[in-house]
Amino acid sequence: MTLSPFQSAVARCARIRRGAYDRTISDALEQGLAGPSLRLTDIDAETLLAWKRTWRGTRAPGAGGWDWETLWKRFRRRPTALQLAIWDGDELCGLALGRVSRRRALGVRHTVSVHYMEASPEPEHPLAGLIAALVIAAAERYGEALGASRLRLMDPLPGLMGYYRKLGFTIALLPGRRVYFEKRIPQ
Amino acid sequence: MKSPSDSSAPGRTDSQPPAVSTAGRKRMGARIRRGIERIMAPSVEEAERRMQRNPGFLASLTPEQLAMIREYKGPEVLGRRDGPRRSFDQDG
Repeated sequence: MTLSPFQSAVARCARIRRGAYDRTISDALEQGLAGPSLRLTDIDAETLLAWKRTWRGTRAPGAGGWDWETLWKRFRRRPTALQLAIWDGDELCGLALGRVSRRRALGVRHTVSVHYMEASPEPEHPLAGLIAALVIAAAERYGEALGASRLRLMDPLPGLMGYYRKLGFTIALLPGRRVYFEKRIPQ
Repeated sequence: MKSPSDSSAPGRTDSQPPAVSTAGRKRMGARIRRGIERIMAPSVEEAERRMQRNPGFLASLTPEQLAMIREYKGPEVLGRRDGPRRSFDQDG
């Protein structure tokens, strides 16, 4: 069966993400941040089912509680979209969605941007406190794979500025007073 | 001398598309595929090579940064404040 160019791009980007996720899992295990039950996958129908069934806690406005199904449908139109689900075994612990900037003339993709991220509302889930670090690690690995030179975290909570700074990010502003954090991806 | 594919050649009108041979269509298809390849992701092998060149974010962290991550218990959320929010009513 011959894939259309779009389907081919979707399949190739999925394989590249799989490679980035596998490396991130290895990195997390080596650093002792997570155990062997850590799983990173693309968001799919199974993920959305788990999200609907298990993430029942409510959030304050502006602090998550995103409609992940709507967001996923919006982001996945681009083959390169980062669509990350973080699991401990069968327990869904975190979700993230991001974009990769289009290719420039020299074939370089500039930036990987994480636009949405959320940890499970269960306060004692097995990866509590590690979701942001795992999302950053996976997004950076994916950016490396695509040749991107920058990683951005869009619209962070104001209270987390110090945390991201300590992880090597610098703050920047977009028109419309949107804030993001940025770090270079080593080439 | 006018070529047979010239639309101004006798017997042709502008409404008739120029004849394209099978070989021409194949060449055009190959050009389009190459163009798409250029805007697509790199090959899986090239992506692997690029990742091998770097230790990755987690392996680059200092002991202090690793300790900070391990001890972190705050919110883990990103996103626009006006982003689409879940409605439990719709879940049923």
